[in-house]
Amino acid sequence: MKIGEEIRRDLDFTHPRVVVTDSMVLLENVAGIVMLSEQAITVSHGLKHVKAPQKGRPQMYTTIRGRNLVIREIYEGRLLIGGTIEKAEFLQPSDFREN
Amino acid sequence: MGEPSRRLSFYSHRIFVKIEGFRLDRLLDRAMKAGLDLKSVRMKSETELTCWISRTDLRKLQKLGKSAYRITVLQQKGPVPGAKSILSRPAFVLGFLLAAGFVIFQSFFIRSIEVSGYRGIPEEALLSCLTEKGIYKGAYRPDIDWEGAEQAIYDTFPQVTWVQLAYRGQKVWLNLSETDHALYQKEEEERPKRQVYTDIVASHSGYIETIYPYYGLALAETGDYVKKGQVLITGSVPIQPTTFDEESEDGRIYFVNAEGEVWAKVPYHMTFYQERYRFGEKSADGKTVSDRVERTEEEAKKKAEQQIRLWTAENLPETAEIQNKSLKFSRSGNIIEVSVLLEVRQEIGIKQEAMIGETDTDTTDHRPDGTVRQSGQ
Repeated sequence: MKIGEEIRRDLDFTHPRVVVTDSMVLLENVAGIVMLSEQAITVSHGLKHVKAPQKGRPQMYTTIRGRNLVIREIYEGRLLIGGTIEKAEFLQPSDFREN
Repeated sequence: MGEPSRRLSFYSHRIFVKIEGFRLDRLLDRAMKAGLDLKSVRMKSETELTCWISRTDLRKLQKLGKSAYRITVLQQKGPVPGAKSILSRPAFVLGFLLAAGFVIFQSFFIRSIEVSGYRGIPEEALLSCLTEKGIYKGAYRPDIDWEGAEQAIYDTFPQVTWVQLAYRGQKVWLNLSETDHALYQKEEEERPKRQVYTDIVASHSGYIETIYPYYGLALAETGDYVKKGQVLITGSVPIQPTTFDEESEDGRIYFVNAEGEVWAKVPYHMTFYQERYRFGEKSADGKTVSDRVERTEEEAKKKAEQQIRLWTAENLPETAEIQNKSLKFSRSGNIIEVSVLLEVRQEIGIKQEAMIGETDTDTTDHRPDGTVRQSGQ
């Protein structure tokens, strides 16, 4: 990856950025918590005051599925999720409509 | 809020809460957008979750939740609630303060005194001196005049050259150093009036060939002629002062049991006599050939060698070695006189006990250095 492209991706606060291991997920650029349960946590991405669709992009969502999920820390748009991680899904509003 | 202060705020007073209500995800969403610090958020059911939150953020969360959610405090942790919890029990605080006060109060009194470095001065005398200056078991430490006590030890015991009084907690240490002169006087007083030591003396007169003193001081050198009974290695060893400020006439004498090996060349003069004639010499058939036959030079020499071997076996030690031998024959009348001179290498050092101090016998020998010598062999 070229360095310019890497910097552009680092400075893009509207796209989801996810670090996953088998027992931990770090979600960044989280705009809000959409759904919460012990088996699934869904969050929306984008800036707090600038909605992604206004910039011509669709709103992005990320769902983490697993067992005994615990939000270890919520702070400044970052979520650290613990538990047994099974799946990470990236969704758009159309996906919700289809479901 | 910066990261360190945020963490400090959280861990100084953190509260474990239970939140009940519908759509808990909306409350969390609002809390996240408001920048509240939440940890260990665990969904218990669709209408109940638990989490840790700081005390200041809890108030904000209660405002965000309004009356739609019920927030219950389950547990509080951190130094602030811990201190509040302790202070809420006045009896415990009072007991703790009393115990601490008692320990601190006790530390102002002396519990033990340790004295070290003394040699000639008795420990009791030192402790007695300290007691007079107010340093004893159970004394109140802040009232003690430490410098005065040190000065008192210097004044009371002039042989003390250095004093250190130190304390830590309830224990007091007295370290001191004494002069060697006082110790020497004490040793002199305690020394027995009579003391036995040994010298190595010559068992024969002769010329010293080698002298090896293992203990003691050699008084002869290689090539010296020594007489029988002369001291070769003495057990009385003077100790010379090693510092310039000590007076040389005050030097001490150290007594040891002298040991060593002394080899010397010892001359022996002796005379043997032989019969000049042999009588009744017969031939092979038994007839008498001659009544009187004079011994030849060779026969006389052979006989002399035999006499020397006999004398050597009886009079010389096994380690002795004959290095030179001279024979002289002279004939007079019926006798041949053989004068023999032997030069023998042998060990001549033998131990002889000596005694210093008071004595009541007449066999003593008063020496110039003040000691008294007594023959013990």
